[in-house]
Amino acid sequence: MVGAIVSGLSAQLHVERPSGFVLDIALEAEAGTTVALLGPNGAGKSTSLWALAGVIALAGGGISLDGRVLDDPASGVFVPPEDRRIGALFQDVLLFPHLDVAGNVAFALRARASSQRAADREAHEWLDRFELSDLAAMRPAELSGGQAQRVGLARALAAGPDLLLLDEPLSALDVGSRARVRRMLAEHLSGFAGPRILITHDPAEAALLADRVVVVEAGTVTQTGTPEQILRAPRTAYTADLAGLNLLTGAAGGGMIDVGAGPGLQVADRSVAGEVLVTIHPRAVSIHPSRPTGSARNTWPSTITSIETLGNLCRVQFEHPIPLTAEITVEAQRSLGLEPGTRVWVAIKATEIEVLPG
Amino acid sequence: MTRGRSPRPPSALIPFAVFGVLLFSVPLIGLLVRAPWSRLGTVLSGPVVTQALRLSLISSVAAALIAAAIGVPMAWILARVEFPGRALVRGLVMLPMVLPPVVGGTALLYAFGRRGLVGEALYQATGIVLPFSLWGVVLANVFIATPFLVLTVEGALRNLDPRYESAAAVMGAGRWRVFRRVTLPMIGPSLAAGALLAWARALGEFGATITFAGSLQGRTQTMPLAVFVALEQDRDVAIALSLVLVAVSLAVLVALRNRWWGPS
Repeated sequence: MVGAIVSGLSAQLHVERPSGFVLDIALEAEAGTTVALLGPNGAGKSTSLWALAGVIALAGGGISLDGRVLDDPASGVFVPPEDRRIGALFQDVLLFPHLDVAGNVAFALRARASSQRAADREAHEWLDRFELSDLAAMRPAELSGGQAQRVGLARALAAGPDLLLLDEPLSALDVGSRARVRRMLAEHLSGFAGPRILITHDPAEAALLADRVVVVEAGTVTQTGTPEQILRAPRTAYTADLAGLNLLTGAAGGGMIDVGAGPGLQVADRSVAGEVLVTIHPRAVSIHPSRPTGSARNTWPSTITSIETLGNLCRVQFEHPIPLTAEITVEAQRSLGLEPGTRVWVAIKATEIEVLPG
Repeated sequence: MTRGRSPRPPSALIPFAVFGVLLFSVPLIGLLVRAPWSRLGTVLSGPVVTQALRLSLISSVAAALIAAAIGVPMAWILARVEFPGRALVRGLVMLPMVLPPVVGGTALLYAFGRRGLVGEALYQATGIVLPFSLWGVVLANVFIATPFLVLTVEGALRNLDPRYESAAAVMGAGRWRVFRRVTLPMIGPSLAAGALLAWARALGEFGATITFAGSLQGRTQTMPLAVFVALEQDRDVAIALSLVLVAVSLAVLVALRNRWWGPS
């Protein structure tokens, strides 16, 4: 059976899919904390979500929530999804297209409410709380991505669940609505007392929202820790790749981001404003012997501080004016004659800079 | 200035399309030209026509409703439940679509006729005789029309993103509530299209009906049967009946076009 957390979620998920995919992970989340399941596509994140929700039955292991056993194949206990009291903000939100916004929230309330009228009344109270009253009569197809996420979260929290599942809540949104949805998540998650599981492939999303991260790759846990620990000491190729990302903080405005030193970074999205977290993949940073005249919007001169060779790839480090890592091939390094101390130009396309509201 | 205009078809398609349109419109024009316009009122108000129209509307609507009532559960199970012999069951359900209707009618006769496999027991227990009654007409229509609905609805169920139903379950809805509040509304347009197809098929049903229920004026003689009988006796009546069928069918197609084919 599963671990001994009495207040919170304790799960050992062993799932075998007809495709042959096997998921085998341990997951614990104390009440009031957010644990991120971070992993690449196909790692088993969605399978984990549906197993926790009871849509997929476990083949082994078990799930207990606040001491209540939800699934335990060894003893034959299986609580169906409708009796688990789980709230979920699904990937793609999955608002029912045939119901309006109020109807979607009322749907989640109906199972607990005494009557449809009571559910409708309570749904409108939730819409008020989420400042969604103006949208009550709208269909999901008429909502923006950010609005849909807000309705989805209201629907997930309305029935007073014991566990909250958040599946990629920010990744499908444009930068402008990410800021709003993130603020909304922060605001409403603090009022939710139970454990929360965040499912994401985006390390920045995990860093922003989670207290602890469980890295899942190919159906197994490869690393756990705080977001900082994972990024500081990666243990797998996947987390190393994540850790190798250039993470910068800055202030955005008018399509520019001031990262405290050096030239402002020009980004593709002009709507973003305020404190932001910037991620740039090392592969997106190119190195030129002289001032580049191409399409890259961000160029500046810099001096190489160190070069680390990993197989056929080189990681080239810069400290000033902006601390940055570039990833290039060994061939490129040789033909350009790059060494620590070499003066070069660094170039990054505006479209390669990912911005998350900080 | 070709931009923004509706696309031009490849020239080779045009003669075939024109031929096709003619093929569908010339017979209709033939009916209109030969129609006995001067005595249309008297012909249409005669008992043969009014009784046949009434029987046709009752039996086809009843058949479509029954087809939906039994077709949706069959489609759900065929689409979602894996069981041994599923392919065989699906084949059985779809068989009437390819079977000549007169064969279907014959089979019905040996199953539900007064001496039939089930019909004899039914008659002895309740005194009900299905053949040569309005219920016999409905049964023949259901037998022929239901596969069209099952085919449409099963396809819709297979195309439905299963995550919506899972989400509804996570939100506390039991299986029946998921079906009624999520599955049914989400396949609504397909269900309606399938019911329309079944209704249209039932309205035009001839072979199984005449074999199983006969052509008794005022009891089992629906419009298509009346047209067939009238062709032998009074051509004006046959044409008038045909015009009524055309008008009813066109009216339904036009009235429902926005709902099923999108506004155009």
